[in-house]
Amino acid sequence: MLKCIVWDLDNTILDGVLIEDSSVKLRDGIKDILELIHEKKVLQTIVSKNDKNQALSRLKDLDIIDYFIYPQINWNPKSKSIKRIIDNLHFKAEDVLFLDDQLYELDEVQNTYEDVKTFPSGNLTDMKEYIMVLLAELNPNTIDRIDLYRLEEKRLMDRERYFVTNKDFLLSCQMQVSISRARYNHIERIRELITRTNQLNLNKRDYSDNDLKWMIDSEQYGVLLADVKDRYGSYDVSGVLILNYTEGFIVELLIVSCRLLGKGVANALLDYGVQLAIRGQHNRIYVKYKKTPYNRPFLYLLLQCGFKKQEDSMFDPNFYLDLRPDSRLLPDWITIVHSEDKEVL
Amino acid sequence: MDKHDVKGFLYEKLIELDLVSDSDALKEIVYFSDLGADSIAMLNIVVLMEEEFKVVFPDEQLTFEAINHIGKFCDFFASGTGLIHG
Repeated sequence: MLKCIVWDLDNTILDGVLIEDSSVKLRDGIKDILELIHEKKVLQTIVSKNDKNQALSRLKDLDIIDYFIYPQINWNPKSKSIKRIIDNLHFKAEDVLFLDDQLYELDEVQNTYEDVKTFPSGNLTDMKEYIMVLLAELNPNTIDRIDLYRLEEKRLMDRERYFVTNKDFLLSCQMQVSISRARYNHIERIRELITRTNQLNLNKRDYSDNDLKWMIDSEQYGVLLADVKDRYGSYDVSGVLILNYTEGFIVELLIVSCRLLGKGVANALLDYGVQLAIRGQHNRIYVKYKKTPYNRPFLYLLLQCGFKKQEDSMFDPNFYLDLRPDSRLLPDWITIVHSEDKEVL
Repeated sequence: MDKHDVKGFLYEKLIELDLVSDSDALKEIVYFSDLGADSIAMLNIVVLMEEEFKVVFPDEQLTFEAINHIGKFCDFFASGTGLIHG
């Protein structure tokens, strides 16, 4: 599904080459296309080989700068700039369309990312038609995430400008993870997270509405939600932790939204489970990890946190961590806060 | 596999992935968590190294030390333990 359109500047958005003509105009009709895409809530960005300050200044003068989020204007290979966008804004390559008038640039990107869609921008009518086809495939009820991407852009820009290590930046974010018990009215959000989340999804197990209702009501299970915010804004409910107390202390499911990749929130939720297990005087916490094509990061998370594989386990759970009273997995940059619902602990 | 090559490539990628902006901050004794590298960052690093050195990384054989510590990670990778060469 199309989520991001990456535009070249020279001879694609602009009617000429900026470095040769500092007063270059927009191509006829291009602003209408930008507006159309914007209305469909698809993120637009730029990858261009140009002088960054000059290009941004010209986009501002042409009154189109606000259409773009996290533009990559530099002299690097375009595949490298697109990688930066994909990695930092957490898109799948197949959700990205790259438009450029240079076939060399399209090929260079395609050779690195065969799943990225590419289209030559030389003929405006053909390009518009292609974009319209992709836009028509979108779900009309797509949630508007543009503002969330703008917040993420601000985070990324601050990190690039002011910090030596990512950890220094994360510490500055004052990230808070608020944990609360799930209620029936959260079921839709939980199911949405289960469906949409692949990388930080412990086992991709699905639960029906009735399963979730039963677990929410049961004293044998804990269905917990993580509401995450930092000094830039809120990520809303972005994590789910389901604990099973029936036989020992088991992490049944752990999911963190892809918007929070790279921020250590999964570690924080796992730590929350560990602290509950320690309070309940358990010596060991188990995890039901199941390998899927996408959740390799979860295996790394378990190994990073010191979990061990049960070699003889043919069945779930298959990883465990022996607990000590001082076991802690919480990253330095995250604070756990409890909602008003004191029942959580 | 030469550890020097592994370390050089790793340092370059840690900068490229925005985990650190200054290579002076990188030393073998540094822990990945000191850079703010979580499991996603580790996966990105491993995938880039797999592509560069044309190997498949043996996730199952990764030790706690190797996945948390820059020097031990380089040792693990350079030793070729369990690496499948493509």
